[in-house]
Amino acid sequence: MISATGAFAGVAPDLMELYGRMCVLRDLDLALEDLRREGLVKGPMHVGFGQEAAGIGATAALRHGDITTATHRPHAQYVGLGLPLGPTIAEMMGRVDGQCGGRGGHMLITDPAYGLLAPSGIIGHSLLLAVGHGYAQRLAGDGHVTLCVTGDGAINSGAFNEAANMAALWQLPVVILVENNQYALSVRLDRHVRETQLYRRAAGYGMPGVAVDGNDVEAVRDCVSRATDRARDGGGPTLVEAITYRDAVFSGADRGGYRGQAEAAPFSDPFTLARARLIARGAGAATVDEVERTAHQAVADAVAFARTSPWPDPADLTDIAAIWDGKEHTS
Amino acid sequence: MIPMTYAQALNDALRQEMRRDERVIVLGEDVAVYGGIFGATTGLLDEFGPDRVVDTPISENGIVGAAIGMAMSGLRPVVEIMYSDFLCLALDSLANAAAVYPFVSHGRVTVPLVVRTQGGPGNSAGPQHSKSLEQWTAHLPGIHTVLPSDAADAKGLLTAAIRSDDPVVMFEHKALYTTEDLVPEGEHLTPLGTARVVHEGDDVTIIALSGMVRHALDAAASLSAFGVHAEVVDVRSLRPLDTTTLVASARKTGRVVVAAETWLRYGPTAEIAAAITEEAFEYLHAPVARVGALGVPYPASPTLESAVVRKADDIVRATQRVLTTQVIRPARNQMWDTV
Repeated sequence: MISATGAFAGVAPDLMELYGRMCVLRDLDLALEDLRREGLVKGPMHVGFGQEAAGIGATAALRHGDITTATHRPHAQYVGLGLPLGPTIAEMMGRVDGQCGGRGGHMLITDPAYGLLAPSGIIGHSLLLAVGHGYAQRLAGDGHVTLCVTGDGAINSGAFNEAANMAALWQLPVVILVENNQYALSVRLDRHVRETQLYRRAAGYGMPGVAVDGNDVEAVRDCVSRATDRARDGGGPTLVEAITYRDAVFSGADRGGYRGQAEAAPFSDPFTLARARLIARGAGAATVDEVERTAHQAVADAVAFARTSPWPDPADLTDIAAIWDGKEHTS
Repeated sequence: MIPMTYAQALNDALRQEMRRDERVIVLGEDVAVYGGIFGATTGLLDEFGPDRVVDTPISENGIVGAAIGMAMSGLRPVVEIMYSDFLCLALDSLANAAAVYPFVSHGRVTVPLVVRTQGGPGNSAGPQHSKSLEQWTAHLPGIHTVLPSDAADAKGLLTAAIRSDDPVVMFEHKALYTTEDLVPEGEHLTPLGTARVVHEGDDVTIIALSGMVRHALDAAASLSAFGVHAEVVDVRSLRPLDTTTLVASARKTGRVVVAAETWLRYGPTAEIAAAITEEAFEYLHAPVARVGALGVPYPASPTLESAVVRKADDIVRATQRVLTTQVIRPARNQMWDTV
């Protein structure tokens, strides 16, 4: 059911590859902010500045045929799974060349070819869908897993409780990645939970829980890989809390005014960390610069593609409505 | 054709489809070991095992949400939600996921999900166990809403629902599970999106759904004693709505009563009356009459509940009202001349 994709090379991607993906993600979000200001992207736009390493590191643990569910802030999964950037931006601009022909927008790119089933703008959906995928994977017994991306805000939804229990009860091959970016829109973590060590919740459901520095892309990759290995071997679900910081507005409509001045300071910058590590391991600065330039160019080319993409034809909506409204019976 | 109860007919459909297609799995509260509180899943665990017949935690939104994921991953889940009142907890998954992903993916992702639930008053079950909420899911394009009114359609609609690649919500009726009818043996499908004329007549059309169909047939029998030949049409599918069949009957008789057990306002009777007015206005001799429950939560006391719900007598009274009304209007060409 899942077709081939360039994102799955068969071996876990190395730091240089991950750094490149992070650069693509950051440049994508920068481009989207520009497009939003230009009026070419409408509606809510949830960018992921500051938390690039968490999302990119997690998808690095996946193999061809695995499934990913995601949140209203899904760009890291789009990039990490290797979705082509041009159609991805076109979808966010409501154009015909988008993966969903403009029907879904930035929160709902649904693409079985990449196992992306699916992101959702409803907090908690990624958890519920993941239980179903995991159940089907367990029945199939083919060693595939589901990466369920969720966040600190979703952890208080009823869906989290229902899904975490079912995943553990049925020992499903699911990895629940809680991107703890410290904010549920405007409400800081310590104002919406008493126990801020979110990974500790896992024990209450009978599954392992582990925290990882969400700004260290290699640490996330390795931590999630241990969890996916365990799931592939029939060991059941794991909750991974990736501790990060949303160094961005919630969405384009965010009026701000709820953050402390220095509260981002304790969090290492995921790009500085990764770049320094690459240099320390002997990669030349010129090589790393080239990775950054390549990412930048790829996003620029994708924006150019999306800008020229035509608007979708609404005529097929009339055809679909005829089925559900029954108008073919009456007109 | 063999006699079967409505619950046995559902069981028959589930068993046949599970034998036919190993992707079909049944899940819900108390469906496995216990066999479902109305017995519809009795014996399935023994035949198909715990991987395919799954007792779930009490997590309605989780069950339906997980089933949507299963369906997106290639299984064909059949969920039982014990009471339609409890379906309120799962409306999020239906409205925001089941109806959405096939649309946004242009059908590259399908959600072959069936949610069986049951509604209907009459058991003194009180405000949280008596509602008929079919209008809530019928409002959602992308999801079929069907309501079998007898055992044959219980089997036929459930079989068609399981084989459909679209999500289907099937509202069964708690008062019907023990009623017996003749049911086709072997494979039996009732096409989704089709109404059925269950009793022919020329004088007036009574359109009904779910448990109200039996009351409509009782009303037709009473009316025949007065020489009135009522046609009874079972809606069966609220979305898509088979306006062809409903409108054809309205045009034939020119007088229409629409009856449902649920509340009158914003319910299926309003939608059907509007469709008939739009498509058959010039054939009508009287305004479309509607029968539905009083606009209060269903009370527990049998005395109070019977004051809220509507039955055959109420349909008879509404029918007498439309039979004694005669709209006088100019001939069609005169109408146009005045424009």
